[in-house]
Amino acid sequence: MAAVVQIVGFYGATPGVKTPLTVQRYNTAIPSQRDPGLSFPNNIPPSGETYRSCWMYTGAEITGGTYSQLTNWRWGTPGNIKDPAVWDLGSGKVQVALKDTGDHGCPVASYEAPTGVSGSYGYDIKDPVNGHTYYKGETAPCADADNYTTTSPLVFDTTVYTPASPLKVTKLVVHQLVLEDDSSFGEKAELANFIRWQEI
Amino acid sequence: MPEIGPNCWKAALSFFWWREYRDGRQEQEFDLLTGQISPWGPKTPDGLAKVGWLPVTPGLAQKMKSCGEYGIPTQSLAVILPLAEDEEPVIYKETTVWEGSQVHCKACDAVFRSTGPATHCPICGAKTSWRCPKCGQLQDSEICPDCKVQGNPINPLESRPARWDETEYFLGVKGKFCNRFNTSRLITEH
Repeated sequence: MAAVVQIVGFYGATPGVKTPLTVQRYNTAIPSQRDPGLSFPNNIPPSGETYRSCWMYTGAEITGGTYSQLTNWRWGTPGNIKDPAVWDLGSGKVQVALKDTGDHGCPVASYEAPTGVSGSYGYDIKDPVNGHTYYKGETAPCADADNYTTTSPLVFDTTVYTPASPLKVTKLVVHQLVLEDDSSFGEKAELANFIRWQEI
Repeated sequence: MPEIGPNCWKAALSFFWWREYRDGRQEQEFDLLTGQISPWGPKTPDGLAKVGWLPVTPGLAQKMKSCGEYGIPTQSLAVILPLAEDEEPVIYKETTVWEGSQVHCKACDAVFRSTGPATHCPICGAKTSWRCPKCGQLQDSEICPDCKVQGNPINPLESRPARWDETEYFLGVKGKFCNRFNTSRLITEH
């Protein structure tokens, strides 16, 4: 007995368009896009500055199947994104938004369209003015995605979803690429990541 | 687990849950005669004497298919846990969907999955090397140590994006221990 689960992202103007996640590319398109190809690239910043991609949203939707409960949704990476052999980000990273308490994921109803300068950079999730409303007032800073691996994944939604749940889209992991002046230039290989859940 | 749509997943099961009450009644996830599904329910029922995961047999896998479920038969043993009256069972399965890459080793023709850049073939050990244009020898470094010239890289590993899933089964007693297992291993965590 198993649920049918689709990995999804949200893009574009608020309230966002839910899209099955075949490929998700960090980029600087405003309004946000799932994968603009090599258009709207992430740019290496001038010395002493930091550039970021637009915010990316990743979650899951229970689209069918037979199940009693699904819960404890987690997200993670192999923990080596920054490594020279992977994306060689120097002091840059992929950052993920955290809440001070409760689930770290962003409810779908709190989706906010990414902002920034199209083709140049996106605003920091924690930017006091242009940041994400659901996160920018939190004390917790964004975390390094390399900290969340198979043995210590990011718990982004502990809601118990049942067939009677009115909403069957999980909270969303909010993440963005952070580039520093020592991050290496060039097209990067596909990044490995995972989503995990419990089911009975 | 089959990917039945674009990044849309439905677990293929090697085990299904089973439970026995203190009065002797037994219930299980799939009817062995029909493949019909029974849900676990919104909460774990009271009065359980045993819980466990039973292996999917080839016959049951066929019947599951007719009910829209995917079964992977296994010769693994059942994992069953007796419960004391004051013990609460922990029972669920956990699915992980990976976005990674599938790597083909052109040296030995092996195909394997990788969650990061593949540096070497886990089967034959082949890795990127450099052929010296002067002496023609393969070297482990970019500069040929004998001729001191830049070699031409030869990467035997060909990667392409891939998605796959892994399912693990959990069975334990709340606050005491939990077994996590699949068809090839069982780990007990305290």
